[in-house]
Amino acid sequence: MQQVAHSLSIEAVTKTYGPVHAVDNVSLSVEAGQFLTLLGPSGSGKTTLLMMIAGFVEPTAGEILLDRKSITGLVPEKRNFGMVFQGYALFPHMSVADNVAFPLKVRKASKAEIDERVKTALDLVQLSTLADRLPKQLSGGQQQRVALARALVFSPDLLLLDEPLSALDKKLRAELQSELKEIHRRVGTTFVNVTHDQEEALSMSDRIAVLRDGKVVQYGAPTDLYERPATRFVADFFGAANFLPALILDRDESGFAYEVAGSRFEHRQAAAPPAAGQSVLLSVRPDKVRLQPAATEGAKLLGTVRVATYVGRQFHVVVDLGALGRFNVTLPTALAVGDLLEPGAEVALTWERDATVMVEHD
Amino acid sequence: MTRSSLGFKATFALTCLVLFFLLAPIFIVAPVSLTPERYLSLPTSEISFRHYIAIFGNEVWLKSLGRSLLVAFFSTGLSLLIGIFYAIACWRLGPPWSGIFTGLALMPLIVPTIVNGVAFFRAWIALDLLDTYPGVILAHTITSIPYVVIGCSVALANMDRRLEQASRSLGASVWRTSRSVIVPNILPGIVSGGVFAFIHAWDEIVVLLFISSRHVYLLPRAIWDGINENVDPTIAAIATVLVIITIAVLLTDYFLARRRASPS
Repeated sequence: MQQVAHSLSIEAVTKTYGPVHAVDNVSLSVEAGQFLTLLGPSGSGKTTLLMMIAGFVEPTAGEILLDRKSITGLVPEKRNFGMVFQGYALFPHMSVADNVAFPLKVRKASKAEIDERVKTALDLVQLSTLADRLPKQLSGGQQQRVALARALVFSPDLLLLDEPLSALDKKLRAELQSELKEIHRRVGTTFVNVTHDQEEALSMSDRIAVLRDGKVVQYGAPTDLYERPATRFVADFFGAANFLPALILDRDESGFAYEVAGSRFEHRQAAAPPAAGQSVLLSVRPDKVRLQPAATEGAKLLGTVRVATYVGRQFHVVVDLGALGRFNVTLPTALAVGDLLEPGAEVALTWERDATVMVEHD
Repeated sequence: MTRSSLGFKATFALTCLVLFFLLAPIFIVAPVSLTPERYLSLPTSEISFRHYIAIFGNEVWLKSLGRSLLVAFFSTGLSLLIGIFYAIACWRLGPPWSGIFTGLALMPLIVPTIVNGVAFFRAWIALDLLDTYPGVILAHTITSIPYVVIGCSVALANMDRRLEQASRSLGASVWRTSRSVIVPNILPGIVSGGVFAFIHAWDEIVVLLFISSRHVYLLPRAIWDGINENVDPTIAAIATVLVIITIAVLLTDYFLARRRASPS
């Protein structure tokens, strides 16, 4: 089912509902064959943006282009985009095979072609044996696969996915994530996915656009966004990050030294380090922080353990740093030291000089 | 509330009382139709079907029954056609228009029937439709459209809007989507609306008295005249037939709905 992939450009697109800017001057481009995820909390405008790409919502301003040609005014049925809806939206009165055949019947394909393509599409999602069932006789995961087969069977120019996995339980979600990724690789079509789940976004996408209040906050590859969040919001959205208001002490070509709560730390940064005397905001991931006994020589940031939660592979520890607030630390279970995890234990926090990321306030 | 409590017993008794009140006419009319006498009376010694036989021996009753079925059939068909399109169009408009237009479509139910009757009378004179089949069918169509609109609107409100979006994203036009996706999914609402439209056209009398006379002579009118001329148990028999056909239509709807609801 390898198909010709198409590129998509969104140019300065805005959608207003009265005084509300649901989508505010968003520009994005997706290269042919890529898997883009629009990631954001509810109300961030990600679904509105997807609905504008699909043609169900008309932009107030801006252009949407497929392979450099404007499709802004085109009705949904003329766009030739496959779409997988939240809750799947399978036609309840049609069998699995009839659901998948629907886009081909609408396009007046021959009987032989319909039969062949439906079979190929159902094979792709491993559902050939259930072709005669009604949607309500299938499990959630199976319905999801039918929706995917239906959206891909007519070789769409683009596949749009609106929170495709949100209705599934955690285990099934992980399974379908890798399956979706595999299907993307096999069909080669450009995918645009919408989700509020950062894990789903990280695991499946080539590119992620983080949206907030109708604007794109950051756009990049999953590793960029996770390792180098640009703003406090992005850092926080990709897992419970800790934030440190830091004062720059001095700098050299490899980075700078900063002060937090009277202690000196170092930060590695190649490009444009801030000047001494400036205040900056640093983010550090819970898994990059290490715990030491408070009595360790040279111990810097001291705090008290509030609670330690065992979650299987690791411990989640909350440390109270007094004026700096609470810090989240995750420790691999193998490295966890019993004494340090008792509520009330006095501990010191430390991290490597490349663990911190400078982020913007937002 | 347990079954033995006083509250349950009181509620049960009250419900039965209201039900009896609603059904009382049938409990009177049906037995009277079975009397062996020539005058209105409850059968005391024996049960007789002579008045039913009289209906089938009387051309006036039979023909008016046939005409009524025909008129109800055509006006139901027309009101379904218009009502389904109207309801889907309103639904597609979305808020606030869908609510406004659906509400306006119920006007024929709100206007007193007698006012409707006068209005049709005046209009049908001008259009030369008085005492014609098209005139009666049209009037019944207009007054029964609200039933279809209500049935369809309720079904549409419960339908997942994403079914329409899914259909269009798969390449189906608005027309194709309405035909292949929306209509099959609101079928229970369409059937219920159609049943009420049929029953309305079947037993409507007020408008009929204004716009028809000897040429379009339907069953309700025949009963009306029968009562005015001479009251005999045949009226009770024909009324019972009317009730039985209505109940049959309602039961059909009920069992169709149950069959759809059960997993196949």
